[in-house]
Amino acid sequence: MAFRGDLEALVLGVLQEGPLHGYEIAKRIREKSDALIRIGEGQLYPCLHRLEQSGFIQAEWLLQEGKPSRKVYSLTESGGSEVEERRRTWEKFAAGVNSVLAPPKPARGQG
Amino acid sequence: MDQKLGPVETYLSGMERDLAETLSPQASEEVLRELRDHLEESVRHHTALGHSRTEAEWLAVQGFGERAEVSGAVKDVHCPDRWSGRAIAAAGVLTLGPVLVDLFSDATSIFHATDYRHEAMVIVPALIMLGLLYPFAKAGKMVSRPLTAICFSALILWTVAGGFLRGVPVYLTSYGAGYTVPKFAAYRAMREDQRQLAHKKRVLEDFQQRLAASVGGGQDPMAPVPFSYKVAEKTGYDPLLEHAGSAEVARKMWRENSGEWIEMLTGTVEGLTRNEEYWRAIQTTRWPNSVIAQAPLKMTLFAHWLLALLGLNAIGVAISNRRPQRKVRA
Repeated sequence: MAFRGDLEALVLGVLQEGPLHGYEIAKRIREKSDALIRIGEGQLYPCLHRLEQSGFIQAEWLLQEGKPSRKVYSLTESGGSEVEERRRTWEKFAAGVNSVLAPPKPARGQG
Repeated sequence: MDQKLGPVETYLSGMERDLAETLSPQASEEVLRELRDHLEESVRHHTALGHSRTEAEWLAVQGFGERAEVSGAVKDVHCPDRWSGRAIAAAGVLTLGPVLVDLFSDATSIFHATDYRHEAMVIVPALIMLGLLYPFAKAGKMVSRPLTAICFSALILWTVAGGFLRGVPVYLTSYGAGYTVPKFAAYRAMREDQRQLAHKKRVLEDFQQRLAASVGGGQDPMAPVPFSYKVAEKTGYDPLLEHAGSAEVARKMWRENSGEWIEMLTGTVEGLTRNEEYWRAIQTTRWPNSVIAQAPLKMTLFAHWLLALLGLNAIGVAISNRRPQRKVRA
């Protein structure tokens, strides 16, 4: 599957649950898709930075006691609307594919 | 002692070299810090599954993806305009020389000028601009590209227009255009004044001849006199007759007003002569003294300053982006 276009939607989707660290985002996508979707973790960062520049997510460095600080990402208000938009687009697309892949209806008069 | 780097450090060192080509040190450092954090987390995950440290690092790097692809994608996000930055830097360099010459010229003229406001017109706004641009330069960020583009386009137009109007190739430098346009305007005004002056002088001469004729020998002031100006010579055109409508009225007007007219004309000729001297002074003076003539010149210098500062900013960004990065600590 080509996730170049959909990676942003997946990231926005998992961030709906709350702020997450980059590694956790990749892990959460893998877990939620039952390991069906494995993203190239390196591609996650350009995607996160792009989403941040678009204003859909925001990043914050969290200080941790005795540990290096971590950058966590969270959804912005416009990011929330964007998830909804992408979900609708995906549902339309999936419905279209399902219609095409659906088994043909039996012809009348058979049986 | 040489210490062999592990897979993660080797990967990050390569990434650091890749990013140093285009990203500022601050941006590069932040990206690397984030990637290191991710890889370390991944290593911890693989170690927890029972892999050795080295194996875990290999697995983390493999999961991360090809270094060139990742660094290319990061650069695309953070630095899509690096070539436009270089173009702006080149434009800035081209203007630096003339600006430095102008600075020197202004600095030396301060000791001779009687009106310091002319110098303040350039120096004070330039200092304000420098103050405004400093935070951008410090942060390693490009200033507004549209602003730079507008400023540079205006300067090119100004240059071409100045060079075209003057028709002298040497004025095709933008600095030359700063002199060309105001001087060309002064030149045209002077030519117009010269034309007016010549005309008024001829009319005055004619009036003086008429006056002499009417006062001296009791001759008819409306009798034909040898006009010196070209139009009258060819057509017999008489401005007084035309204005009066008939010879009778013209004679009456002449008797009543000739003294005043001649006085007025003499004043006009004197005024125009003074103007001619003024315009000639502007033509021969390197620095026009008229405020009107100064304004476009100062605007050009102002644009030079702005462009030069934007250029300096771009050069600073380009240099800081090319500065070698600190080695990643193991």
